[in-house]
Amino acid sequence: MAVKDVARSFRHSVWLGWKVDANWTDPLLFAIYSVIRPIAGMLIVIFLFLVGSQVGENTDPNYLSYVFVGNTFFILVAQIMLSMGWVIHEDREHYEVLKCIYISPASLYVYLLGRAFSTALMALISVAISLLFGVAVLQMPIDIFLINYAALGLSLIIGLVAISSFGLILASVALLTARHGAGMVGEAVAGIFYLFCGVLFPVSALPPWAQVVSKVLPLTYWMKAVRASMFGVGPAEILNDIAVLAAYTGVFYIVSLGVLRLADYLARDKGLIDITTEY
Amino acid sequence: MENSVETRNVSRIFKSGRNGGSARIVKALDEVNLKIRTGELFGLLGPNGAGKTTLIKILCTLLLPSSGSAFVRGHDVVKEANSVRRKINMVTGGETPGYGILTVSENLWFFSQLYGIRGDVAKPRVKELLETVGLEDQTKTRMNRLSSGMKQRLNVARGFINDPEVLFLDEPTLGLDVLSAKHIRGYIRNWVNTQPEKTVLLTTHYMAEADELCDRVGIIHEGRVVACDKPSSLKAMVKDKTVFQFDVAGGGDYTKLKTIKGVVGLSWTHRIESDTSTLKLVLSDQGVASEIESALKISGSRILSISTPEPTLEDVFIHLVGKGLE
Amino acid sequence: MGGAREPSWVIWDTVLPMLTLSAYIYVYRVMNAPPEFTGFVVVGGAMIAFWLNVLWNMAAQLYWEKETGNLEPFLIAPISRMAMLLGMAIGGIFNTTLRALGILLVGVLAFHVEFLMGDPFAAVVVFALTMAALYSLGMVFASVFLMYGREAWHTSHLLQEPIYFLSGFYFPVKFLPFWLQVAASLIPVTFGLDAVRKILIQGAGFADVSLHIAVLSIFTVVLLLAAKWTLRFMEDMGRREGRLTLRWQ
Repeated sequence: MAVKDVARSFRHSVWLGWKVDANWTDPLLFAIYSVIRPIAGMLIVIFLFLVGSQVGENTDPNYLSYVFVGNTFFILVAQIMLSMGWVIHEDREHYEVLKCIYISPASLYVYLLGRAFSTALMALISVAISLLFGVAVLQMPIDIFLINYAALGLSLIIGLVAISSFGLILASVALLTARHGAGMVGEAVAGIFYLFCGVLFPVSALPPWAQVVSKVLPLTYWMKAVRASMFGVGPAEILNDIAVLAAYTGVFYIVSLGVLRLADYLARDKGLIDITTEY
Repeated sequence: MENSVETRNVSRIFKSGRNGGSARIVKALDEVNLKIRTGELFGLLGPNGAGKTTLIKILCTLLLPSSGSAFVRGHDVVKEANSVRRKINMVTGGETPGYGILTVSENLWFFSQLYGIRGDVAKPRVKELLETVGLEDQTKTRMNRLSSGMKQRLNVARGFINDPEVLFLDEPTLGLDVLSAKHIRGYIRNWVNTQPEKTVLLTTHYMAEADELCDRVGIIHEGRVVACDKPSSLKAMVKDKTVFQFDVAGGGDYTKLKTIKGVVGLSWTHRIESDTSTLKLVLSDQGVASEIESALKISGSRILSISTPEPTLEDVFIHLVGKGLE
Repeated sequence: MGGAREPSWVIWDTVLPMLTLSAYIYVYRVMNAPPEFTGFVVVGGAMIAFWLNVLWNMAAQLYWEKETGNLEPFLIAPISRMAMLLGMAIGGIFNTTLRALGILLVGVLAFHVEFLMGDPFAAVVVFALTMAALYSLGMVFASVFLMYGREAWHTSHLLQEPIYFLSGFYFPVKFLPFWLQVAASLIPVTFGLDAVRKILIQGAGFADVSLHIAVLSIFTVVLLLAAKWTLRFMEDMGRREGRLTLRWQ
């Protein structure tokens, strides 16, 4: 497929994602929604810390920043996971356009990436709002002059590739079945990352068997790299985490392409592209 | 290229049944061989469940055949799916794909971009197509605000957005009002007439539509193509047979008439509003008609009229299959 | 029926919600909070099952019926809208109760949560009143869904995290600032959750939760009346504005 065809499909998929996901109400209500949701999610973990520090013995103030940064950037994971399985389900069953997209020369892979990118952009806005709220209102000890922006940017880019790869696997599953609920599966997978990837607590707090799981998930290293970038940790340490992140991301990316290809074949073989299941 | 669409022994089997139930195997297509010439408007006629939609899905690369091979514009639909997709489009009647939250023009615009159509070409084409289907006043209306007929017209417009080389129309006028359906048929016919390199495969169970529009018609029954020729040639198949039409009062089950020797095929329809039935019989010779008349009188049916209409494609179907298109 | 035909809910609705709950439990453990806070999170997680059932199965029920084209037959039938919604909810309550019990069981097995169980009669009364109040609230939401589609859908999403925060699903409400406690007291699930925690974790008796029972009773009556009124009002408005069968907004 020519590069400009890919770019065009991608661009219009992003446009479509924005239109479908953001255009459901007037701008003011959408703005309120975009602000309240991430802040409410953040306040839950902030208060978990505050309550824990009042009743518990560990009152390390750095842990609050740890929790804050982890939970804030996790918004990207949750939103993209949820949306990528849901896109297939919605397009197939609600809008009945999946088959129209399928029979066009546009690549399904590029289309899904475009929709994921659209979600990522909206999620990044939520992340920015949360960070702003945390620093300005909750007085989080984040010094914007200490942030290693280059490392943060690189971590985010590689991390988004990793997250999208998992999202592609979810979309592939959604191509084959609606039984388990497209959104539910996405939430479940996001839940696995939430627990095992050091989002709210160091992975060393997990039992040994769970730590093994953490070590093979790329998002564990993503969390470490993002946190380190936000708190201005030295480049050598961040680069190590970014390198491992990149390596694991590469593996999962290749796996996701294979899974999508297989799902595409199976969906066409079983005639699933245009089914309606009423799920 | 002589043939735009070609199938070679295409079969498709579906297995259904799970959760403890016994598996059911359905042979939706059974060694279908078809050649559709470039520039042809080809009709595929058959009742519901005959395999028309299954065949279209295979040719559109949505479904893989269980065996056999199929080619669109020389490209294998399985191995060269992307090449096929550049040259085709499909419209399924009775469906209204589209994003409710987008406007009419935004929906068409999005689909144009999936085909990589440049903006300066896409914009006037969107405008022209909306005028063609009578939606030029609804350009800025969100799709979820359209009536079902309007959504279907938008669906038809979507089918032409990329000016495909091969267009698959799966019962495109299903659910449209009479005037809209007539208008769409006229547009399709004109589209093929004025562009000899375009090809259309149209499936329908409306005999009159196939008769009016198609250069050639294939009749499909239980997954097999039982006949394929020009409408006039197909009708000539029943030339040596006689087609009789009986209009009777009331309704009933006339299946027993099939047991009369000389009855090749039978179909009937009952009109509730007038409580009358029209029986169409394909007979081996005229003499059988009097036996039919006697049988109806004996069973208590009051015959209102008897006529010998010109053979139609339905009569051809009855002749080939033994019953009508229920 | 849906639960019986699709048994995979056992995994999705019990084990997988524990993933997020486990993360919060580990936060408390890292901070060396007393073990009863693990119990708080587990009980909160079990109650979330009901809150989500109210939001997505009760409130969104009419939305899903509309989108699948099944709403018209319901609306033209001579049946009470409240009875219809309640009937749809009862099946959901059964599955949700199993889900909640599953979460409690996983909490006991995986995290060794200890339940003291105070007065069982009080537990049953509190549970019944909480469900009555919650599902009445769900009917009020359902009426909004009747009129609005995607906006109501997103609003339901909006009512997840803020309610988890305000109603003390993961920590006792008493740790919130006073003005937030006042806001929380307007949500029935706050009282239900607090009473259930007192009974299950702190071994409270009927007298200890009598205030909760009184408040929940008032909530139930008020919300039932509100549901009756809003369902009628929204349906009339939907009919006037042609939104009752508007799909995929």
